[in-house]
Amino acid sequence: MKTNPIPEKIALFFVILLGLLTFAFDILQFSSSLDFSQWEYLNEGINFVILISYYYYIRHKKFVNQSDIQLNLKNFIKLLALLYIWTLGWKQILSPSFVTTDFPKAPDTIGTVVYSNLITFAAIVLVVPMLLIIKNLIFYKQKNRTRIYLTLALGATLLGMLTTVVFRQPLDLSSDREYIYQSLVLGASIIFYLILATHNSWITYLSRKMKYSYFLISIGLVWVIALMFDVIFKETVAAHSLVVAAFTNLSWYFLFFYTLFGSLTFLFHLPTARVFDRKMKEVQSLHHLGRVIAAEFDLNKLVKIITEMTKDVIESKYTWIEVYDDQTGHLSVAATINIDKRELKSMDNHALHEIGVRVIESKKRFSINSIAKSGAYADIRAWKKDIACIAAAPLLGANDQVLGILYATKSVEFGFDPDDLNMLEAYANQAAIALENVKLIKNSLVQERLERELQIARDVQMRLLPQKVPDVPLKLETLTITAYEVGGDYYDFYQNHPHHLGIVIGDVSGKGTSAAFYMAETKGVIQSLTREQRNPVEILEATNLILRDSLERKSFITLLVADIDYKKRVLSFARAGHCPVAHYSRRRDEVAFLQPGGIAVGLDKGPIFSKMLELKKISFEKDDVLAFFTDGLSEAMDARGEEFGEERLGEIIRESAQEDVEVIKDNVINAILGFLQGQNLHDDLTLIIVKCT
Amino acid sequence: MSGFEVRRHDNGDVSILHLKGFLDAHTAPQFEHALQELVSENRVKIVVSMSDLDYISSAGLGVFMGFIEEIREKDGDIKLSSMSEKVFKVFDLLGFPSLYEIFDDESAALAKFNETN
Repeated sequence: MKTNPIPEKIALFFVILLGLLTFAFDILQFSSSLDFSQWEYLNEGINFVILISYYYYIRHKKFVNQSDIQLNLKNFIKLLALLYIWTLGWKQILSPSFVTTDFPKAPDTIGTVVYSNLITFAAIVLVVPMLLIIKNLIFYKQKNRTRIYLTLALGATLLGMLTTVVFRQPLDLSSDREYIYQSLVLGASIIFYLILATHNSWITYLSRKMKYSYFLISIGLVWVIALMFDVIFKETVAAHSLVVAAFTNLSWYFLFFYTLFGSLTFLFHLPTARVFDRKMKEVQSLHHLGRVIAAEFDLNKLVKIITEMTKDVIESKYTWIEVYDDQTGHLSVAATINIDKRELKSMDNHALHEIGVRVIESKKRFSINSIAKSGAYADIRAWKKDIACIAAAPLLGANDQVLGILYATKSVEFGFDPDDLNMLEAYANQAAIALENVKLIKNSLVQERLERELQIARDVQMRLLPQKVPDVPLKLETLTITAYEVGGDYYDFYQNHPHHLGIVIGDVSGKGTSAAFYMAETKGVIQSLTREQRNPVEILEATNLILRDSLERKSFITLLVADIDYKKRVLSFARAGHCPVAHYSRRRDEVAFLQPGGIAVGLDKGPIFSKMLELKKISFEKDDVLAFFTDGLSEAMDARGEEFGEERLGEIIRESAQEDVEVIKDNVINAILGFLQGQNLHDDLTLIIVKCT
Repeated sequence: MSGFEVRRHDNGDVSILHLKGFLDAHTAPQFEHALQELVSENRVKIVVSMSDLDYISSAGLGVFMGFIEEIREKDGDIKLSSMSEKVFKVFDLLGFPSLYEIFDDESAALAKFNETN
């Protein structure tokens, strides 16, 4: 709030100056019977200015602008006490007495004059902040019309002050025709005060303990305020100023009604205080739990927090939570309160087990409000004497799947009311959400790790492939497209013998890192073998012997090893379960798929592998085309599940065989893309095209 | 990707597994599970019928490799039957016919088991 210190200081200065002025005049008037015409009205005017100035001075003070209820109430009581101390103190010192004239009563002694001035001063200084404090309480929960009622009440008060001065009559409810205006004004004021007095919803939100203690305090307060008018203001203030007298009188009505209604409201709230307290606690703890769940992903901590909160709110004796273990698939105790985890884990209690089964099967909460010492569930009582009632609620996850059970027990029979059971269920639900959250996070972490692994595998795979085609008198083009997940295609070139080019193409079964490892191993093995050997059959047999023991049982590698003697124009190759070689013969203008016998590396320990493996030898001519590929090409699949197939590949090679080798490759790529029509490849695709010169 | 389904049918001491749909890296664990179950029950005479199998990938073929050794050690076998031409081509390319007995239909595979009994 913006404060403006200079006018406030001026206001305070006015209050003191004018206060002293009226005081001085009162003294003067009393001692010298001085009569100054119209002084009464001027005096009232000055007192009104004092009142307004003081209000202006104090309204922004921190003291009267607290939103905390307790602080406001404390301040109110302090002000009230101060008022009484001040009044009673001066009464003792000055022992005032008044002449019993009609109204206003005139002071009898000089001390009485001083006394009436001091009390008026106190009335202004202390009652204004008291009213401001009540205003804070009224606005604690503002309704649409609160401000209107406040304005009306203030208006009625000002009117009452005005009529008191004009008619020089006290504000009393009277049927006397003479006092009709005063009665009307007072009646109207009281109505508005009563309306305002019902604005005490701040009481609702106090805790049960506060409601009890404040109720007791309020009884005293009502009594003290009721006496306040007679003890303090009555004739005293009126003797000095009618405006202030009317103000204190009306304020007294208002304060009395407000405290009286407040006290009654406390009384009415007492029976429901416990329930209200409990509901507040529930809402707060669920709110808190919601926040914890959003921020905490450690399952052990979460279940601990949930059991603690359950215990706090439903005031259970033993509380524990059982959660399905991912590994074993059995329920296991995850967190306990007041009871040893190991004790629960090692215990084999038939009745308890039965309750668990019941909750899991019905997917509903279950409770026994009174466990008899004999009969059903007596087992539980035999195990723990202080379990008189027990309740259990399922942790229901997505698709109504039971993720665990939340248990609570109490040591008194019929200890669980429906609210307790509802709360237990609410906590179980929250726990289920928490568990699912944790699982989701875990899964996404696993997913992320797998993806990183795949990326590494792809990088390794790409680095294992030759970075450039060898410099030989043949036209060579290669194409590799890796699929998202499945990988394992591999090819390599060797030039260890004059006029010979070695080509290896293969496909490692499996995916990710394991495929990349096997690929690296295969590359190493073949690289060393080709240094000495040229015969594809011997290379493959040796490879099978070396790799068969290191390969996982489920894994195998298809390999094709070719040796091209470009001087003699002879291709010799052997195929270990790999796709055939496509050979386009210029002379015959047709494509042949050459598929000699042979089984994949890793399928057999040796004898069958060697028995099946055949060497194929063909001679080729200038402008013949050879294509080596993996099943990612022949098995590329369109949306309907149809495969690209070898025939299509053969046809494209035949059609574009006259073109440069780059063009042949582009045509194959275009044909595959056209065939897939946006479908993803589900396997790596590798193609090596050799055009003979 | 289309689904995959394994159905088991016991015929005397021979168990028949009917495969249906796509057997690839994603669905291979289902097939693996079915075989594992048979092995754990010590039912090692197994016919895998593939009349409704649309596609098999290397991961699917790997499942056979993973079990065959153990099954044969227990005097059992996996016999394959009723493959479509497309599926047979995959098996053939890899050289499976030299390692596994492949039959045109289940009854032939069953007869082969019963004959050796």
